[in-house]
Amino acid sequence: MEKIPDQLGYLILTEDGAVLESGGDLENDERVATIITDLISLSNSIDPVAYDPDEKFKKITITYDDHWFIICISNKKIYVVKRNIPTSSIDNVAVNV
Amino acid sequence: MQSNREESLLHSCFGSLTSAFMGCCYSICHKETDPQENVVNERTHLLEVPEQQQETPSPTACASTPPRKSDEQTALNRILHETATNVIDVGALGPYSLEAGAYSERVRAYTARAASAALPPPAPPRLLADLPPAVRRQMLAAPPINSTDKELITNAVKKAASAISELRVEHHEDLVVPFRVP
Repeated sequence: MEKIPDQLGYLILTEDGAVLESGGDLENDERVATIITDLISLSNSIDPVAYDPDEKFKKITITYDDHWFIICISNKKIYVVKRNIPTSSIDNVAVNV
Repeated sequence: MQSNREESLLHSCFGSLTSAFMGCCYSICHKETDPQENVVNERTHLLEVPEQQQETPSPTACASTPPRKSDEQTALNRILHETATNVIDVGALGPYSLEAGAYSERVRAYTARAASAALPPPAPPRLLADLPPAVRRQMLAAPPINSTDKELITNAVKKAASAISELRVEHHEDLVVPFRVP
């Protein structure tokens, strides 16, 4: 698993939700694995009329105040990376005059 | 003179009598030998009565149950024989075994036929596309979403959620109305 900037942890799962690799904050985190797998199956049941059938989505992100998760599917595996949001970027919102 | 006339009269009477008698004999004798004769004469029957009723009117009147039971019996036997010929009794078949070669050949033939006939199962709907590794690396390393975009999304979803929660049914008229039939 390649090095991602601001990475706090990562998970690589099978399409069924079994953990293949894990590291950092997400090491051996079966709970997060289950949540992510359920989220993906939920997203699969969205009515296709809501979006263009030719347009496929590339990632799902879950953004919190200080960290965020990015979820991708590649080679029939689910890649989850927990990344840090630098505090300087949070300050940008407040500082904007 | 008178005796001659009487004699001739007697002779003619006797002659007609003999011809009538011979005719009767002839007709009686020939009745069985010419049954197929289609000539319509004074001897043909006016009504064609079936022979069964002619021959056995009395036996059927007296004894009705035994022939009916035999009819039932014949009908049951007929059904039995029809079923026996049409139905395949799997349990009664003897032990059936295939040779190893014939078995493997059949397995090959059937799998080939099944593979050619079967369509691939339709792919389940997926929201996320399967990315090639290069695109994945790019995606995972991409910066997070803009904070303004995040505010926009959050506000829009909050408004939508509150709007949906305000959906309600307004009662105007009665649902149940009696029919007024004059």
